[in-house]
Amino acid sequence: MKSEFQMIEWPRKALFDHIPLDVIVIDRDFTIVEANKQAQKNYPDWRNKHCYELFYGRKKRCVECAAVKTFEDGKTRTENSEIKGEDGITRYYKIHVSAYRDKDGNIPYVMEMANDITDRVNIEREYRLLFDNVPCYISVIDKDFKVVDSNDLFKQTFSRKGTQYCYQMYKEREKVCTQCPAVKSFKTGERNTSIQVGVDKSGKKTHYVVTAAPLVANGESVDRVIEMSLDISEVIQLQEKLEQAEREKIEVERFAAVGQTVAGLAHGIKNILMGLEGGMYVVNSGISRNDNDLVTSGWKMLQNNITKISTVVKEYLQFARGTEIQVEMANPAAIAKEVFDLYRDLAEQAGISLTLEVPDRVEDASLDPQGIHTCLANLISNAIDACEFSDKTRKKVSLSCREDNGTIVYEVKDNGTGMDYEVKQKIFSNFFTTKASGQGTGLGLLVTRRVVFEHGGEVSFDSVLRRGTVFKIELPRDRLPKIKSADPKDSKGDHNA
Amino acid sequence: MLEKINKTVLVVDDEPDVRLYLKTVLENAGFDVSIAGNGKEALDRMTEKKPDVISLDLVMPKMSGLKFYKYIQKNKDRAGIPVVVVTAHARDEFGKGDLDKIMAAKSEGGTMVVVEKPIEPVNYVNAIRRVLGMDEIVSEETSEKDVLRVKLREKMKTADRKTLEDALKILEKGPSDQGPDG
Repeated sequence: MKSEFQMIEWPRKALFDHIPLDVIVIDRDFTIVEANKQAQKNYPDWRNKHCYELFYGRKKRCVECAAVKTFEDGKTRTENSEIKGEDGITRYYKIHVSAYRDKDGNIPYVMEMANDITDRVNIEREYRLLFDNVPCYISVIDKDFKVVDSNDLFKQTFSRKGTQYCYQMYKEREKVCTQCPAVKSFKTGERNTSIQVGVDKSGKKTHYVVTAAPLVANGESVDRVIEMSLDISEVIQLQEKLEQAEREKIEVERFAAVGQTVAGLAHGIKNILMGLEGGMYVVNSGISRNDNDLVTSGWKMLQNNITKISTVVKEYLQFARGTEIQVEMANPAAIAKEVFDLYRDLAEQAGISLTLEVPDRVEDASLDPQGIHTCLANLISNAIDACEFSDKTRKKVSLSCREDNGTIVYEVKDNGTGMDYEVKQKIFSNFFTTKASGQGTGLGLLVTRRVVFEHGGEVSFDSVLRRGTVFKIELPRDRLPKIKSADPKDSKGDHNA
Repeated sequence: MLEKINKTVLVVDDEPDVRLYLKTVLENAGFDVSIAGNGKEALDRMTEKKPDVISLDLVMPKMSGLKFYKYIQKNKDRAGIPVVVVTAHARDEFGKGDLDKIMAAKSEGGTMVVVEKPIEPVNYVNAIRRVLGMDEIVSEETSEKDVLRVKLREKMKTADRKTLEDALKILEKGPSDQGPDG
């Protein structure tokens, strides 16, 4: 028995007609008995059609049908539906089904409201496509750090069986990482970025920059964070290779310096041996000539050369000892001050004014303070000697330390004798001294150069005969040796950001 | 010590030890010796007394051997003095250039010999004698043998056949139990 479906009250009728959804009413036969304005507009020939016929072009009712169930139990339900239009484009609907009861409690009609969600579905699809295909690892985590969603790349790289927390996946850890940017994001509701080292499924070390961003709008407490990570392993590898190449270059330079020093040493020792043999010859001659003065002269010659060889050997041992320089954080200006204090009295006694120029502040640097001390002492000692040989009335030596574009620069300047062309050519090239016999070994500048090379730096000089000399040590900070830490072991996954 | 040779050698070297050593060697060989520690001093010594030969160190601070040599070549009288160049750097970057230059600067008809350090007394003395046009001497051991050889040669000129045959037999038997050199 069919009762007539009627829209009685006006407000309801108006709502029915103007709601921006397709609304139809079907009877138990699935015939459409009423349609609102929008449905009539979208489906002009709706009248007396079965719903499955009108919407899906079917001859029989759908297998899965929410209306069937609602006719049975009267409950309101929702179902999703896809409808392929005549233009071939699929549209997506969310359909609400509710029962119409008559006075006796029977359900002769059911109302279906179809909400067109095609745009939303398409946007979601695009978003998912982006999510899965963006060349980043993306995971969404909850407050327990459980991964509640992740993209394909993340799954392919980090998802292991039985893992559900981000720290398990990214780093094979059993608890939250110490330098976790997501922890901060949960706390502050702000975005945080850091560099991390993780381990992928295959056990390979992976470097990545991770950005953690809260997934809720401003003001609300954060219960989801999205982690987006960019793999920078290749960049890190390149950087490591570059650093390695730089280290090797410094090593080669160091060996070259050592080689030159050894050649120089051989030459120096040859000279001393000649002195010893000569001394013996002179002593023998003095004895056979019965010439006491000649014996004395020869003996002095022997003594000189014995003193010389002892000095050379001691200096060389000191020089050879430091194959490993002792690097620590030290203040470059403080070292200059120490050397200055050490030589001030000596210079004063020799009638030389020794001055020190250091800026108020120079940052600490990783270097071998003892080695740099030796270098500066050598240069100052040379400068004082150069002044002593000069016949100027105002003798000056100055030591300065400054920072110049990331390079630590020491300068030792004197107004002493200066050097002529030949001396300039020889000071670094070999065992060479212009000092009186027995006073100089010719090792000072070699030691200086070696130490400076070991610091990745350079020694240069500028000298004008009778005007004076400037020696310059330049130590670029980015080439300075690294401090060897006591325990370089890096606990797995924990990496300073 | 050999007989006195009436020749003066000017030894120019910046190292006092080397000066003393070379002076002693030359005195033992019978030369008169004057010494100078650098080019300037050497010029003074030459003014005092013109040497017959100059022993010249190449590498010296202030005035190098090369500069000194070039300087004295400007004076006709001094340019003819034979020179023995003493250097420890004949083969290294240190002295090679200077050595080549001094060889190139040698005047035509000038006399020059290079002696490398370390200095062997006999070699050094012979180099000096060579630039002076004198016979070279030989070391003591060889010289003793040489004296015997000369004596033997003299005797052989006048010896009879029998003596020569005996001498040949002795020589063919090889070294005697007690070596001739003792």
